[in-house]
Amino acid sequence: MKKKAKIGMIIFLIIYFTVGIINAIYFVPKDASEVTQGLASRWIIQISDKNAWYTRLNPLTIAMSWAIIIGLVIFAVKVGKNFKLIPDRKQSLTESIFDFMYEIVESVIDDPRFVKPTFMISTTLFIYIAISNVVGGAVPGLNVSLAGGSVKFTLFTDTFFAPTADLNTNLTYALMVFVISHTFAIKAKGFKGWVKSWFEPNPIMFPMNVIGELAKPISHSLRLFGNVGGGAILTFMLSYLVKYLLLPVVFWGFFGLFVGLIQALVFSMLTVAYISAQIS
Amino acid sequence: MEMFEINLTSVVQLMSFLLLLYVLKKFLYDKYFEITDARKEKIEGEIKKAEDLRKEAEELKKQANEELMKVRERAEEIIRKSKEEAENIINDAKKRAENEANKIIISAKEQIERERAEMISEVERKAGEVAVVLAMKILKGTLDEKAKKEYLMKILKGSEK
Repeated sequence: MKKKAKIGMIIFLIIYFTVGIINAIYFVPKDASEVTQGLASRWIIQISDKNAWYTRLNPLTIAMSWAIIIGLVIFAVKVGKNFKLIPDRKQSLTESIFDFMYEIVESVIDDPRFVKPTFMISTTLFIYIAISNVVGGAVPGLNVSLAGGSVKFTLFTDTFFAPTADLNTNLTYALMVFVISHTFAIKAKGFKGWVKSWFEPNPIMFPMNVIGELAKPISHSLRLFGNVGGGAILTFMLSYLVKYLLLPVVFWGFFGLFVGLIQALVFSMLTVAYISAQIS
Repeated sequence: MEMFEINLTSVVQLMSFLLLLYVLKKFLYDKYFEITDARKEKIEGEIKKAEDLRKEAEELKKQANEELMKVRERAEEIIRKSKEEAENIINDAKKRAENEANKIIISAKEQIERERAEMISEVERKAGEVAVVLAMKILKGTLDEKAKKEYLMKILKGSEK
């Protein structure tokens, strides 16, 4: 480990344990029901007097999402400016991920016209979801607690909030994939061919096909939501059980890195599979 | 059921994602495709270059083999000619030697013949002298000197005939 990284790690551990001791002394609720009370609720704010879906926002989801996007944009600009024929370490990492995804997409998508767009969509989804899951599952940080009906901010009592633990994120992406796959299908088969595909292999199957297609975005989004959301609740409970002080490293590693990365890959692979199924 | 509430966050998330997709496309994906294409072209170029060099090497090898074959044929031709020439020289030398030998033999025979003739004449002459001496010894008491000489000359003339 480099000297700079060592110093950074020592500073982080000092802050982490100091805050952890403060948390353990002042913020640990005596009753476990206090902790579990606000577990299933989300921090939602209303941006106007009218109470409708379009006036309500999840600020934590948007903040975390933007933090990740800004980080990715900075990384992309920095690496993109220095893209060379002989790559450096950052470019190699980027290219390794891209190569891995491109090979999969190229082998699954038959029509070469749709390889690059599918690659871009699935890779962006993979990177974004993977980082969200890892940050939300394995990195201790700012936590918002809604226990007792009030919004309470605490540091290091849990991992950061993962944007993918919010159904808004997952369902949006799943619906986006659904729309993209059908747009590609119309481009590939023509409008008539696309309409015809709903009645295959027999017109009697039309209702089944409709249900099957509508089930895709639901299962696509709920799978990720269940895994990440469930993992987040489990790690939160574990953090409470160890009084927010000791790192439940194994569980954070499992739910954050292992499950998180696998679910990111599953989501992006399903994206490729749905698009492939539509255009073939 | 706040966990399952769908609200304006969806739209914000969609916009955020599209923005991220645009930025990544502009700064990473397009450059990634450019670089991979450039690398592919470079590798293909190198392979083509290597293939050309291999062909050139094969051509040179073929040429070298042809040259070698020609040189070998020429060498064989030279050896064959040399052998023929050597044989000719040997044959000529043999012929010349035979001729020389024949000449020597003929001249030797002639010389022998000549010497034989000379010897014969010498022997005859000597025999004549011996005969004269012998006859003189025989006729010593019977004839005088003059008569002896006349008689002998007569005999000798008779023998020459």
